Amino acid sequence: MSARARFATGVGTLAAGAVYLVMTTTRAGVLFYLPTRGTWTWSPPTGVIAMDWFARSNATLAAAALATWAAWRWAPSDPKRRARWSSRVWALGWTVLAWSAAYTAMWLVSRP
Amino acid sequence: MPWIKLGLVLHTIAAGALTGAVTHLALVLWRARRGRPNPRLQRLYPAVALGCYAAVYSLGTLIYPRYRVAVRAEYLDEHAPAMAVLFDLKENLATLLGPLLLAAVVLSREEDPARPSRALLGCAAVVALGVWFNLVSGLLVASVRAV
Repeated sequence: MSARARFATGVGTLAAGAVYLVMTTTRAGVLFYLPTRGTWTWSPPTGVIAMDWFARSNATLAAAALATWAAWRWAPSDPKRRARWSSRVWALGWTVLAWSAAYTAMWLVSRP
Repeated sequence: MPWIKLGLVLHTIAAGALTGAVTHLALVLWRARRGRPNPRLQRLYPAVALGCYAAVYSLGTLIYPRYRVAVRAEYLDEHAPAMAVLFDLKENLATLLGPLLLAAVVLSREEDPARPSRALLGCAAVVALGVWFNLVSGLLVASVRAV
């Protein structure tokens, strides 16, 4: 059972990191909240405070939960294959998360 | 608005509890990998941490718009831009720690407490370090005009 859990959580971590990175770098599918107006919009007008954190954050956490559930359900049935894929998926997941954190730091520091 | 202040206080209390839970989890797992497991605490701390994370996240979500307008836009961006960057870094790091905390919760329920995996210990350790960074960052940002 723990091999299945390792595989599922590895996939969840990788999916969350990928969704976060794509939404941060491309702004694809980002819904902005305008706190001064109390409204949501896909294309914020210039000169108005717009927050993209809510969409990015909720999508990241939802991706983690959904991917973990899906990978748990459809994990490879062969234990050896599952263990092999667990290591790969976790290595990739750590890499994507680390790159996401590094990219965020560079993006925020270099922001005008 | 008093409810914003109340939200900030509760957000801080939950963040402190989260820091304690994940730090203890990392230490308990570290001991377990050295042959001294504590099954009860290895199952308790992840559940407490997940509950605290949900509380910190929800309360932070409620007070974030007010911070963005009344604190960052009206003060930090002009007088302390480095603190505005630090706050944004903290918020995004909190998002990235969520999947690792979820993984720690799942793994701690499924693995043999006597033999926790490196993945579980790694998740707990990284979440603990990240939460400590966020706690100190939040304190620094909140104290910009305090001391």
